[in-house]
Amino acid sequence: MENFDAIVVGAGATGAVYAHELTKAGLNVLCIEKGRFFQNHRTDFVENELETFRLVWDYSDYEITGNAFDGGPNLGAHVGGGTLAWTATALRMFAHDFRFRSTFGNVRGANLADWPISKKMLQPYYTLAEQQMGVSGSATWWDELSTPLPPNPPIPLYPASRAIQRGFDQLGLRSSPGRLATNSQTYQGRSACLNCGYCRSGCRVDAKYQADEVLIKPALATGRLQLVTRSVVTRIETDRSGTEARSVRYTNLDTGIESSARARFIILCNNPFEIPRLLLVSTSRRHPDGIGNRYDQIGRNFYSHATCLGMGISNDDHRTYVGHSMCNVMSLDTCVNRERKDYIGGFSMLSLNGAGAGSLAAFPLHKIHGLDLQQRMTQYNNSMVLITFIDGMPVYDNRISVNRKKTDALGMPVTTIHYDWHENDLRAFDHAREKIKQVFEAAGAYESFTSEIFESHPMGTMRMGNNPKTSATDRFCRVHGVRNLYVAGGCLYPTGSSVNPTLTMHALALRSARKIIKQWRSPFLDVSVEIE
Amino acid sequence: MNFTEQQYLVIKALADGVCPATDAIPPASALPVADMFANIAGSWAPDVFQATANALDVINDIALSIFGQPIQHLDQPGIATVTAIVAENTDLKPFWEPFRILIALNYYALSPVYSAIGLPGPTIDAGGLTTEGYPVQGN
Repeated sequence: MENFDAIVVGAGATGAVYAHELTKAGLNVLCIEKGRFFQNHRTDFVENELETFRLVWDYSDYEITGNAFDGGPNLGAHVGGGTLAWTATALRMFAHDFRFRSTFGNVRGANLADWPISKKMLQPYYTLAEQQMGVSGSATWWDELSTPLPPNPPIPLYPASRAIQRGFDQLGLRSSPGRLATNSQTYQGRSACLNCGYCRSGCRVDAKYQADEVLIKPALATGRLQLVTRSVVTRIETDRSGTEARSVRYTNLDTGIESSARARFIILCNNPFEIPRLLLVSTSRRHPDGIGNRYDQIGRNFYSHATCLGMGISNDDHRTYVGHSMCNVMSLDTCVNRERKDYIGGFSMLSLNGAGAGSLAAFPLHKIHGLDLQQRMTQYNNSMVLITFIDGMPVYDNRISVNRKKTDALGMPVTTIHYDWHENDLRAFDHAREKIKQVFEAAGAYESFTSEIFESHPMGTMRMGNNPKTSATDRFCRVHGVRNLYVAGGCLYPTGSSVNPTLTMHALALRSARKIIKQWRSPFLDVSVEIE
Repeated sequence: MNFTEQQYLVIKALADGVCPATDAIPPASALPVADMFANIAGSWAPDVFQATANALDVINDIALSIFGQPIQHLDQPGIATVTAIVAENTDLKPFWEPFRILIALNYYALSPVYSAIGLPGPTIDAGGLTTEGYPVQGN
């Protein structure tokens, strides 16, 4: 069995961060990825709206119950993970997001909690993440005073964004250019954005931050990263005491060959469904219900951003096709609800531009067919498009588990998802939908359409917390009770904010990677009493 | 798993119900939209595929009961009528919602369609676009 300093499961948005940081520090790392490695983005990616689906996770083996989960194309499936198909919106969460329960109280039926860390603790890692990604933007109304500017200036507002900004102004909503991990100018050898409109199909010129290009390739160049693709980790083994993860077993999807590898640190960087699944199927005498599942916390408190997509049609030529796709202009004033008494939290309002014709026809125009649909679609370039992400409520019984009676082709029990909307999600959605229409009307739209509620950005399932009876991981993102088993991604979030999650995932991974490096350099350090 | 020939014709006609021809835009039936749907549906779990096939049979029965002929023989207003009935039918919702999403996503991603509604398509190899939406090279 091969030995490594660390094994990273999944080479996506967070796996790439760990691979990069750990190899840079001198650790020998094995990274195991289910998907492919697209090594030449210029030729591997195609500018077409449908190409997104080639880059995202496939849920077709999953068993799904409840009214909320529809398998939205959010999670990645290859080296680089979700950053290949993401819109590159790179926002810091609000300070109150880390103290959501203390700020807003609990809501009946929800399982709210504060994070075990504060925004202040994460700020230096946010700054580093922005530098690695090459974030563009200017100071915004919502920054804390000490927040440094991102490394690149903002991308100019597109015609449709200027119209939306007029709508925000009319309603007294403050706005600013978005914060984007897309280059407004050449940055670290990567191109400036060419405004082609196809961010979600993979950026052919790497103007958009894509983790495989920015982090995995340099990690490979150190000679200390072994990247294994087309392979799935099927089991984690612990030592006899159950307090230390020892090795992983994995299978190559093309050859069927099974292998094992051992490491001092094991870091699970796959998605909020597959991480709990892997832990739940790794049963043993010490972990009869799955690793870290003594208190039945693995997979629980699942939620997402309840989402609304809107389209407003005006008589003006907005050339809506031009752009990077999301958050050219934004208003975050609605991220704390101050207008209605029937829900807590709030929602962000972000512009959409670029090539999204199919998405508009499929979602905001979902009730229109035939010649009426064609008539609206011919006004694509007269349209303004907004998306809102709503604070989703974590609910204890919304959860990921496994069906031990049904296995996939690798013999692993299949993943089951149960997800129902919480009443707070629905009320906030109602408000978001109304607000979108108001903005469009104020911006000069004569007709507007909104989607039904849908889920974006799956989160929860491996909640961080100080108490193993109410959370799955500790404040350094380690599985409770297993001192060298780390977890990464949106699955860690006790609550999810109303801004996109990737920058925070990256920052958390940087923080935990530093922790691992410290432990690696000082193996006799008592990690349980270490103060950050 | 494959649809029967009649089921395939229902897919094609219903796709036209969502995305018919206009003076400037070709109908879904003139493009490989039905094929794309059939290919995707072919990868679904057997029970989901069978439910889809059953729904297509039901939809053809609706056309037969109202117009006395299969849906593929109806003119555009006839297809529009059947489409409207399907869209409002609660029992057909599990079929209709994914069907309509897939048809719309596939149809508007095809160059004869997105070009007709004013999208330029791929521009990277020509240097991209200015932030005002004009070709960089022609600016």
